Amino acid sequence: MSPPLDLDLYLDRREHTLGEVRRLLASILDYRGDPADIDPDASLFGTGLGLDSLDAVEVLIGLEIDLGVRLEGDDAMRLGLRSVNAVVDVVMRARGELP
Amino acid sequence: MSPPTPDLEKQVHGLRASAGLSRADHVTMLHVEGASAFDLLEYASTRRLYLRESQVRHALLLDDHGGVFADVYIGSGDDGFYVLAEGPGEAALTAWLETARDRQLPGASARIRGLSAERVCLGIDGPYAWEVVSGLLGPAVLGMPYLTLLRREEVLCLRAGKTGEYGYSLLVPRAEVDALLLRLDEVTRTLGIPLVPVELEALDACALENGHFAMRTLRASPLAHPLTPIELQLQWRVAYDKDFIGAEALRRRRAEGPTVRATSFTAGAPVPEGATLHVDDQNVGEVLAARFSPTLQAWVGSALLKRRFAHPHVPLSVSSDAGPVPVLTRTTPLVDNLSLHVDPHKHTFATREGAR
Repeated sequence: MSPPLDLDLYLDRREHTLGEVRRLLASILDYRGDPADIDPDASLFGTGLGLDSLDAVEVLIGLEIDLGVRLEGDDAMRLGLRSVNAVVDVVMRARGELP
Repeated sequence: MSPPTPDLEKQVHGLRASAGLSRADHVTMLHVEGASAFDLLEYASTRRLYLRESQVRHALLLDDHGGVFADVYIGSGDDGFYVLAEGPGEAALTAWLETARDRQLPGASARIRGLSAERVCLGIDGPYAWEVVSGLLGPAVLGMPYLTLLRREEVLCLRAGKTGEYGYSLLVPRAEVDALLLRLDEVTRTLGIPLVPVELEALDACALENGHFAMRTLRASPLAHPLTPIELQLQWRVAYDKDFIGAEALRRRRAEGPTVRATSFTAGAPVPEGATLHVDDQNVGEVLAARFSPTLQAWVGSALLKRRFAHPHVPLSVSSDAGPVPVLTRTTPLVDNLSLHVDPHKHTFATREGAR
């Protein structure tokens, strides 16, 4: 059975990690606006942020170097890179912070 | 809130497994041409429209208060621009664009023409939609990038989709619809692909399953009026550094600091639209839309939540006639679409076992 969720702690960590992921994506996209305008449910590819396969490699490298998270396996990459929130999940799961 | 029906389940499962055919009467089709057509649409839409011929932009049209008026695809054709919109009907959208033209570009040459008298819009969505449409219109369909237009004889084909699967909208001359449907029947029989008739309710359920925005899910909310792209998580369709109708109001909302955000959720029991969501005794938002998801076998929806709580994995509850219903916010998309596993260069419906 999972331990009871400390909602305040989880929400603080979620907001913090979302900020980290937004900054990473903003740097890859060369985004000139405020990273806070990147919506958490925006898709990374196709409709949404419009990343391409080269950008995906940069995201993987950025996750590993900047955030210390390594994504391995086709499924993990395919599911973990579908939206900004999916990336946040990946990072928080790796840190043991996901409920 | 729509109760689950066996027919809805059949439609969604069919679309998710092979392909679904819909008559997209909810889509308004306009043609805009003339020397000022670009200037008009650039001023009207939230995104920049520097498009090469056959490219399409997914954008929004806003009202003066920044509220979402229409969800639009704007495509550049060899004879002007095509606008496929959800939200306003043909007369309302034409009048809206004419008002914008006369206000911003007086004397400009931009002719706006509704296409509903001439054409019917058919939607084909699903992991094998590409195979059906290429069987119908030829192999050039296989080379269509996402968000492009292709003209084959008199049929205009847009590759887009709001279900998370491969999606095509076909703008077919009315006089040719019956013949095209017969050809479609022939093609799907030959390929052995079940083409399931789907209705708008099934398309909206698929959109919610993928966390995609649908105009039908908009409802007036006391938490934010109007609902703008900021609350609806549609800022990727907004170029804040350009002028467009509603831009000033939107920038003002952004500067004030928005207080709520649309967030996907699932629930194990029916959730009434408009109902209040709680964390313990605290009111944290309200349900915008909810439908039964045949894919997830749960109720799926979108809620407008206070930003503090507008994150996935947050347990909430909603009151219903049958008592409190537990609700869990979710990361989008909520489904692992088969289309992500289907490569048109490797798989066909006949060899689909290799796809996942």
